[in-house]
Amino acid sequence: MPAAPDSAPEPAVTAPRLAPLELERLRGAVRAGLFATPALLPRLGRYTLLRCIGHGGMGIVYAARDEELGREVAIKLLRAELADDEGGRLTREARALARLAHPNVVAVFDVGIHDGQRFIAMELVSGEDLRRWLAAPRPLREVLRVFAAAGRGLAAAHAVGLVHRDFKPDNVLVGDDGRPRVLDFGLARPPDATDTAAAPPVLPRGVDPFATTFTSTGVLLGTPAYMAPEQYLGEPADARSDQFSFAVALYHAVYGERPFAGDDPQSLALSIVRGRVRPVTPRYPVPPWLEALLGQSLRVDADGRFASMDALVDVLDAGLERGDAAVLDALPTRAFVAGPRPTGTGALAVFDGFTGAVPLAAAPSERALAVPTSTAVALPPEAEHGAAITSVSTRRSLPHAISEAALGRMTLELDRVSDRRGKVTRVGTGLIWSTRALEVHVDVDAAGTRVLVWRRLAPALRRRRASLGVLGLFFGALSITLAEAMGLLSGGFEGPIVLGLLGVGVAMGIHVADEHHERALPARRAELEFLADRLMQLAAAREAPLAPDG
Amino acid sequence: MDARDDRSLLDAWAAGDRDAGEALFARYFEAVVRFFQNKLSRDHDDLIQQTFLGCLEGRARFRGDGSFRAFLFGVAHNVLGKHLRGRYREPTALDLAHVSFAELGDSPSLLIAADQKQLAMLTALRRIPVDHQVALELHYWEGMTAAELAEVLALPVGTAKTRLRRAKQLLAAELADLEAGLTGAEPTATRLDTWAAGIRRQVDRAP
Repeated sequence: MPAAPDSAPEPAVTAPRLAPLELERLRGAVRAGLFATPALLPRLGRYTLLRCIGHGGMGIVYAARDEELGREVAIKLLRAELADDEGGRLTREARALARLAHPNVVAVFDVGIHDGQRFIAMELVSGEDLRRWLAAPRPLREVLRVFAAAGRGLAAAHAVGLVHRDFKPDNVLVGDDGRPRVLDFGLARPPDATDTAAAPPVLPRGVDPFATTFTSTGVLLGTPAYMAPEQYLGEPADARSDQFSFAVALYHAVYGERPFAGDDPQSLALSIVRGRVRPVTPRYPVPPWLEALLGQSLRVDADGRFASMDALVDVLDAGLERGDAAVLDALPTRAFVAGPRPTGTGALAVFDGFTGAVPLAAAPSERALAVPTSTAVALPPEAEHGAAITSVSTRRSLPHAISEAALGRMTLELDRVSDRRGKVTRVGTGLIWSTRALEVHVDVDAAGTRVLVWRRLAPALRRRRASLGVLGLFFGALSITLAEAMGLLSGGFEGPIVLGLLGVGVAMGIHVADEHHERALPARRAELEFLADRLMQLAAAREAPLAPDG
Repeated sequence: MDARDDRSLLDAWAAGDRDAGEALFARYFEAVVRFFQNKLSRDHDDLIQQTFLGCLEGRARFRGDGSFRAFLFGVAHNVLGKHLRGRYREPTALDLAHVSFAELGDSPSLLIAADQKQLAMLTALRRIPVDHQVALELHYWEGMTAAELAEVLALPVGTAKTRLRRAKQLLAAELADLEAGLTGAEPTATRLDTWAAGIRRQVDRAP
């Protein structure tokens, strides 16, 4: 807060300008309504604007009549900041798109400039966007078919050298005919890819993670919730970045939750660049091939993803072909709450070898599967994010290895206290048991048995937005990922990991613990200690028969 | 341009003089558009029309001792409030003195910002509570005095003054935050950047 608020800002004395064409259209429309005069419809070249059918991050969309060809089209009038087309790149891309005829891409007829604003004339599709379409309960088969078709549309554009850079359900129209069409290819300038010292983009604080985001100069950054790691890193986006965004949308549609946690761009960036897909307990048995497909296409390392969208869609099609009809047809993807327990273990097995075996923050159980050797990880005793403690943990150890039966007893107990909500992942001779909030790592080898009980408190804090406005800082957190990798490469060296945690502390440090949270901490710790003691009793017990509820 | 004053135009329009209505409409149309543009992303047509019709219907309440402009924006303000309450499930719980458009989740406006500074200003305005945003926009863009604002917002003049002062403080805070975000570099960020870049090079070299 500035010291002298009364002398504070007076710079906006001049009112902002209104988009001239929209002003003209509004004037005509309101005048017609008030005075029963015939509406004077504004013209834009050969097009007469009939009505406004949408506003979005990119601009205004009108239904218009092409007076030369006598057909109705959609006109997207881009925001003024997006008019700048240095080097004619956008025009070139629009032309490439205009030449592209594919049933799953919205057809572009024409591009032009009107009063300094760029516009695109395209196919007028009667239907709804994929986001709204997905809001209704749909059988998995139907969802996958629509995604497969949209994927073919992306692939067709990739084939002519176009990259979307902002694929998300809002940019897919599902026509009344059921046919999905991808829209908004290459409408805005991408970050400068020729800059060798590519820097992570700076997202202003409070950016809506679901809105298409631009810099103030009209450079397209993407939509935070769907951006690929390389986009967060300021590296050029390519077809594989579209694949990643596609997979984020598909994951959400299949599991009913987004793969990456975070309600603000900063924490999203952290989750995405580190490949932290959060554990989701599916509400129905997700076919293993679909899990694997999502796992591969959500890899941090673009080289590890599918070679092309076509390759991905081939897998999708094949799965649809031979998939279990009971799963594909019977179960709605939404509104399916209580159901059979998921088949198989770990929902998404291997996401990225790079961030592989370091269960640090969000999704340890899946992570650890990548390198199935040991669960012994450099988990901090307590992850302190600045003032707020976001997790509590406790450790126990035994000087000897424990038996399978002991592991079984521990699992049984955990299932009991958690009302059977936990998921077991076997890792080497140990296991990880996890729910969304609680994790128990049991590491068994010749040297002994180590147990770590870890509880996340982050959900309680999630509502508090990070007040750090700088995505640049997030780069510091990226370094943790790299440090982890280094730690792994040099055989479990913990130093970088600790440093990395400090990085997290800095990046997230502005989460302010509220008093309630603080008060609840001792109780949470006590619960955890109690649970750990109980588990150790079970682990240490000789192979005597055991009553589960004992 | 019709030379008659606002009051005469309104009365003439009410008596069936369409030209008078059109003249009044032409005079205030853009200001009314501006009123709604930085707040809502759609339904402008309807709301603008409702505002003008509201003036016509409620002209008995316009006694001529205040400015027509204040009366007009008072109507627009009511139209806005009614619209917002109609859109949300718990209308009574919607307190426009405390909730901002940014929190209401409306998408960005279509105003054209002259430069980055103005863009930041528009964004910041959308992040302060609706009632404060209304006061500030009318003050800055339409040059309204606290007395006129009191009329628009149906508040005592003293309260309107306080509202304006508070709104400026809130705006300054939001602008400061935006500034920090837009210009980027926190000192720690730079340091971590360098550090991360160093590690990255090592990783790249690793087998």
